[in-house]
Amino acid sequence: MAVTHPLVSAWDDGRMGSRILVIEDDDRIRETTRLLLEDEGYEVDDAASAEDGIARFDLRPAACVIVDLMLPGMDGFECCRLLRRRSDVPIVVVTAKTDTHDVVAGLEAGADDYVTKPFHAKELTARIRALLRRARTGPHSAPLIRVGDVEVSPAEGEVRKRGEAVALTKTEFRLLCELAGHPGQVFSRELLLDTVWGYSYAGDGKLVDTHVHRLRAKLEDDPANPKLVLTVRGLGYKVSA
Amino acid sequence: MTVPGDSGAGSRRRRLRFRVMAAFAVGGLVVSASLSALSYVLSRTYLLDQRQSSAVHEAEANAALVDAVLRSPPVDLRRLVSSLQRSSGAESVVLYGGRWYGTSAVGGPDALPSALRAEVVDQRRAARQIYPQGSQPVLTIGFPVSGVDAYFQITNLNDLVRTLRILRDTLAAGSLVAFLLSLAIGAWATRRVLRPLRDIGQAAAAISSGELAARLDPSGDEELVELATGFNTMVDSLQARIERDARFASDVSHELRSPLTTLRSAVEVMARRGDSLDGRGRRALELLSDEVNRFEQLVEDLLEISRYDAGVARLELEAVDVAALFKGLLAEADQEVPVVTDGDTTTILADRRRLEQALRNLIRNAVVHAGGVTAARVEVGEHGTVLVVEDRGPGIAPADRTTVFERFARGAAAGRRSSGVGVGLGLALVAEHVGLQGGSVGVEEARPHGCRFVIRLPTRRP
Repeated sequence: MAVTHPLVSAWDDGRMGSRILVIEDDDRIRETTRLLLEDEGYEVDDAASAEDGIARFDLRPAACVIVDLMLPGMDGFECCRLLRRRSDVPIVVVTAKTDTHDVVAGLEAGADDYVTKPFHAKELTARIRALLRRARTGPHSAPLIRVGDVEVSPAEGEVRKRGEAVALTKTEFRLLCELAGHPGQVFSRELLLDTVWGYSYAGDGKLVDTHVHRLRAKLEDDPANPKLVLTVRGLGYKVSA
Repeated sequence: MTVPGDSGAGSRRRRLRFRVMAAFAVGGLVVSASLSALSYVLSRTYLLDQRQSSAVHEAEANAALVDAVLRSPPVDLRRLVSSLQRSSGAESVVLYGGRWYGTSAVGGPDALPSALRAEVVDQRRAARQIYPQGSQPVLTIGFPVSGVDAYFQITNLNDLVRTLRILRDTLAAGSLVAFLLSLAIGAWATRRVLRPLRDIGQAAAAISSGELAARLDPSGDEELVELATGFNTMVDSLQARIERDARFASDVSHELRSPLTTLRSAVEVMARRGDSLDGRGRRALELLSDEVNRFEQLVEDLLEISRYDAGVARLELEAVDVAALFKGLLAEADQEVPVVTDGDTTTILADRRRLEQALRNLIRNAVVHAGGVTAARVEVGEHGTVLVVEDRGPGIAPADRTTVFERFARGAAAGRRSSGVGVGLGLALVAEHVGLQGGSVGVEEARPHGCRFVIRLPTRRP
């Protein structure tokens, strides 16, 4: 179906063959999302529950997973956590609430990005595209970065703390590379959205904030009292020089 | 809503407090002063009586001695007088054979009041009188002796007067202390008694400012438990109602989002295939798409405004370059208008999401109702930040310039609703968003025609 209409651009940047897993309990939304994504040239796998979605993912890993946060049975947050435990696959959560609380909880559960219902096709596909690009871009060819007792190796895509490997998602890794690559420099949330997430959309500082929070949880000795990724009040973040 | 603790209630409370304090103080003063006065009068009478009776006894004994001596001459009056028994300060005067003999300090017969002298000497009757001699009060007791003579004993009452004065002063001081004490007790008691009132006032103020969880402590004084419980019950039901109302709008909006998501996605899938539709079909799709947009906007706005109604809208300040934000939004709406800026830096602390939505709504208003934005301006000054969106539309009548910010405002916009995306809650949200940030929004007339929407925000530097 995806190839029956003229969507040449979809072929150009190699999206063809990228499988997206959509986990959404509303049949109609699931179906229209499938139509939308297939129009964009993606291959779509879908599931009506978190349990089913994870089973499908185990069967056929996807390039990106879209998870509705409000699911019957296991909720979207738990679903994100389980997916995160088995893979660093990019996750976009879909929420019906713009309430910061839900969005932040979703991101804390391991999601890379989010959209709110009713989302625009452009919005959703822009996020997927940016995430896939990030996933494919892979590590920089930059030299080893050392910050405190943390070693970032962009070439291998690895982070070690006191010699022990720390598992970061691609987004977390990109964020750390960006910040650690320029120690002492203050990055505004907009700048980080632009360089790490790959597109700028205003007003989403919480995307940056929760990822910084996650980075701290994984890298800091005392996440409540960070020594590595510092908050510059009213401006943004920096890595101590 | 009247907030307890405002000036009117405050002065009433102060007056009440003052009244209770004054009542305590006056009561204390009256009680202590009358007790003091009573004890003074009683003490005075008792002391005076005692003094008089002892003086009379003494004088009686002396008079008997003088009488005996005078009846058996020869008489050495000086010896007699000096041998008389006298308590301290008492003087004796003897009238003997028409002549007066007395102890040295006595001023002679002239010092005795004539009435007393007349009664004792002429009428031959024992008498006594209290009168001032010089500056000191004295008690003089007279007895007729030996036929024609008389004996007078003059007792100085100065020590008694001094004792009474000390007593009086002590009692007065006691009354004063009692007065001050009752004033203090009054103040303490009023505070104690008014504390529940103050607590209620504070709770009510907290509740009206949005802290719906504020309650009174129902474990206080027994008399107040009923009041506290009643108050808490009232707030409980009020809170439940407010939350239900607020939740309803929010729930409705949430419920509408799922069908909207399907609608939106379906419309977008169809729009990709617009070419395969005929003219009528394409037009129908266009209308459908516009209406989905409008529907979605309404749902979003309703959800947004229900947050204000529920009192859960929280300010999230961050550094925002308002000029850049403004430019971006104009570009997003395909408005090719330069943003004229004034001020060194256009970065202030603001709630980015809300400011963005407010500006976007103003821009949309200009696009939909007035053919587009014709001028955009940003002024960041020390005393405030001003954002201006101007259009060359038909303008808004002066009478409608405030109602236009009300929810689902008809007025000037009413006739223009058919033109596409209606305003609905748009301008009302602008007012809410700007108000939350401590600012205001207004609309003025632009020259030669059209209107100028002006957002004023406090300039908070990052």
